[in-house]
Amino acid sequence: MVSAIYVHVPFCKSKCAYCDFESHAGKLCFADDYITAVLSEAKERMDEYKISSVPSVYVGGGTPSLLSKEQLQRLIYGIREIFPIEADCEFSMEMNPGTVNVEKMEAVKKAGVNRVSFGAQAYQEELLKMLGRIHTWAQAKEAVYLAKDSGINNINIDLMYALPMQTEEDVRESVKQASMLPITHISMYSLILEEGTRMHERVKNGELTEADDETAIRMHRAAMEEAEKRCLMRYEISNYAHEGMECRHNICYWTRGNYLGLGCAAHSLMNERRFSNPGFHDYMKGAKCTEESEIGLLEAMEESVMLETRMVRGLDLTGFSERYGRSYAEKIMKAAAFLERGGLLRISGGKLSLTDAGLDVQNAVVGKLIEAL
Amino acid sequence: MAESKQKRIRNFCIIAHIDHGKSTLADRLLEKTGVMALRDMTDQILDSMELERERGITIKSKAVRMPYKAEDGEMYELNLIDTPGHVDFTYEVSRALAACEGAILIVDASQGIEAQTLANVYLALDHDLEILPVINKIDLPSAQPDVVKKEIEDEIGLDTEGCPLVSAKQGIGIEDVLREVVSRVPPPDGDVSAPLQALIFDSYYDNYRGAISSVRVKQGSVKVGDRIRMMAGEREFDVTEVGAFTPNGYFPTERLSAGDVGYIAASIKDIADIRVGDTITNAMRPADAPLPGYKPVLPMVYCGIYPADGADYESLKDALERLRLNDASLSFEPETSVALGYGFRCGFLGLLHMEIIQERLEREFDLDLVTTAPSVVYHVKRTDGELLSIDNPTNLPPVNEIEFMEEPYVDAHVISPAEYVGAIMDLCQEKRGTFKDMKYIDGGRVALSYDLPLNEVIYDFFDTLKSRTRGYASFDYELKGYIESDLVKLDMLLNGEMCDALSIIVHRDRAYARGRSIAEKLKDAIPRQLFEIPIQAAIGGKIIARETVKALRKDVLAKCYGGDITRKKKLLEKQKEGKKRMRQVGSVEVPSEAFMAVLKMD
Repeated sequence: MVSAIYVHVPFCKSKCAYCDFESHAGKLCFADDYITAVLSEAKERMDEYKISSVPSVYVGGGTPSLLSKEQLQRLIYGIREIFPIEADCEFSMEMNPGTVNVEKMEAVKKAGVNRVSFGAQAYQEELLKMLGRIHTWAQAKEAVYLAKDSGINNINIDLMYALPMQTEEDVRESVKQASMLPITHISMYSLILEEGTRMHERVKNGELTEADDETAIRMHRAAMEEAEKRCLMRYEISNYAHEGMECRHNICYWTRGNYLGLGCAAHSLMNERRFSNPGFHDYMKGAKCTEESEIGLLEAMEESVMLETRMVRGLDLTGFSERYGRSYAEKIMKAAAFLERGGLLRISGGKLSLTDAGLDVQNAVVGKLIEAL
Repeated sequence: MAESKQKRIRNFCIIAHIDHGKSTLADRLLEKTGVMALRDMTDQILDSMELERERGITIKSKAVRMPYKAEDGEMYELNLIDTPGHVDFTYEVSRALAACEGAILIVDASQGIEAQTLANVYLALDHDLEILPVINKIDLPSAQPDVVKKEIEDEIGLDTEGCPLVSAKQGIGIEDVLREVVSRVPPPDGDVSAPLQALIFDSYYDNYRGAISSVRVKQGSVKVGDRIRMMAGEREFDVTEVGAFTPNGYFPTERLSAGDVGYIAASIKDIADIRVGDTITNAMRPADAPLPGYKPVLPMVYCGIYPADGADYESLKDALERLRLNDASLSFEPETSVALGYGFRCGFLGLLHMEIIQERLEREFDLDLVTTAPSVVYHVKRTDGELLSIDNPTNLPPVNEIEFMEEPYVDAHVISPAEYVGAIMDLCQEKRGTFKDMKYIDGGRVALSYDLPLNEVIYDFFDTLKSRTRGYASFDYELKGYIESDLVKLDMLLNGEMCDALSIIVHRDRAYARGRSIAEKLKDAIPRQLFEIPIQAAIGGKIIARETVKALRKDVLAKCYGGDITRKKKLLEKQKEGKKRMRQVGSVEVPSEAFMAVLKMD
């Protein structure tokens, strides 16, 4: 079977103010043991699933670039040894601009990484500080050139909008600055205030003010405009890329391809089963995946609608009809009719695609569509 | 022998304004006569319904037998019939009174005579009852027993000589009350050997015994095995059990004779076979004529009750049927609404009755309900001469087919401290009331009389009155009659489509204000959706108010979390749960709460 691979590296120098992801500061001393555990999990899974071909590998975190050169090499070569990686595999790695240097960059490039993703977040220093980032914009810029110079040509930058204190102009400037760098891809995430984060706490205390919906939408429009000026075209709710440089790994998530998650808290979808690994401590103690659920037909259809409509190209109605049956595709089309009249989506060429207005309210649109199933 | 037994029976009830301590006094009497051991006492023994205890009100009449050894050394049989105090349940009171020879009238030592005190006294006098005034709550610092005594003498004309001064709460003066009952309430009469005449004053449903009648035997006697006939209902049954009620339940006896209060069970399956007010006689040896009965009670207020989840229709039906077993005054029939689907049009005696039924349905049957705005019964004369009674605005004929309409008016009595007179008059004015009379009672209190349209009373009159008088005013009303009135049907349109469940009938002068206020409330109650939703209030085809629910602007999860889609799925599940509580009106999703939000006062 064909499957993408995700590897989670949970270590961070410090926890960002908005982050509620599985990441730990000050645990780097466990990195060697952790890599050993990941590689042994990889072997087990390989034996279990007999994966025949891997079109994409994504090393995410946390901060994978916090690992030492040697650790990174052991991890990447280990993965390449265990799985049949395709020759033109998209091999991505997330990096924090504050943790990179020439040696690391050249080492990972040599090991096979051909796409890097930098969390730059914003151009304005005061916003970076508020977010609790450990780097400056100048470092982000430097990191991009470092990658480029090492021969990595496929480069993403993560940016955030709808931040407290941020103005529409700030967003525009960030996108502009990012798009002038030699990059191929921008991920632009609207801040989600997660309970239990420092940011959430500060908003609750009234120290910071959350952006309202109208502001967030204006910021997003501005960002999109700025990105598309430089041919970074929106292809998913939060993602922009030069033509042909869309992230293969993410598209695998949105089209419900198989993906195997390795490492703590990693999620997998394999043969219509979803499961996820335990958190760092249990994972290190050798605990196996905690949740496992078989996906029924209705659930699979709902997932398809929910995930595929995130992409600008939209839900592939032909494929949907082939997988789940014509009658369901027709139900979706019927429910879509009034949404189309309202300008929230378009149906043409066998695709159901949400308009910009529709993408702003994708949850509600999906709700309406799956109601019909 | 039979006659000497009669001499030692006392049938009496307790009447009082709400909250003057009726149930507490009943508790003390039960305790004093030893019917309930102290350790078994919970407060307000007779209010066995959870709701009755919680709200501190009595909803159903109940009869209890208490043996009592009087000062003369004789054993007496005291039958206490507890009655509700609220205006909505006057019919229950009136039935209970027909079973008695005397009534204890409780008056609060600090509040004095209240609206309901008077209403109940008149009811008791109508039934020729001996009235024993009792002044309660004498333990309160604000108690003025002498002032209240004088009030009773002046306003009701009752002798207060020897009137017991009581604190039911602290158990003071209870013995005096029992002594007064024995010495002043006349024993029942009635020929034990005459043909049976037993007046049904209430009915209950018991899972083991079937439908049972609470009766007062006026003459003759009845025992197990007798064949009885319902004189009006014309059905016959074989008696399986007779007896008296105790707080612990049924106490079977050999027979019930003239003068007795008790129950008759006769394997009656259908509660409808027992009509309250009917006379039971012996089928083999029937009485010549039935006893005078009661007027059948007519519902005053109607509303639609729908299950929040359409799948619960059968459970709702079942629940209503079960409630009706013990509450003959509840009426309901199936109706359908475009917006709400299948439900029931229910008739109630008043607003409190309506609330209580709704609460019992939700609590005792665990149902989630959607209720529509309460409506009164309007009379419509059509241009073709036909007369209609309309209890649901949806059924109102088109304007051009209506010659005129009439709406019910009530005689309303408000008693309040004088300082709130201005506020009350303003309120009654706003509610289209006509001033009739005002008099100062005593201690700075004023009694106001108004003619008020019932449809204003059922809207938010009571709540507003309470809030404007900081809870001091008491309110009571009785139906006065129908008056021609300039009424219109106010419709609500959601995204251009009429929502039948939101239509109301309202006076033309009030239509604009109500239309605006409902539109505003709907705007707050309906969540933002994918498209903008115009909310309009209309009379006929004319739009009189408009609000807009703006379209949803942002509802999207930005991030993918490395293939972890659980958050997205949880969101979808939450969305689905939410949709279950939504009603589809055209293309608009309306939450169940919205239908009730329009009932709330401003």
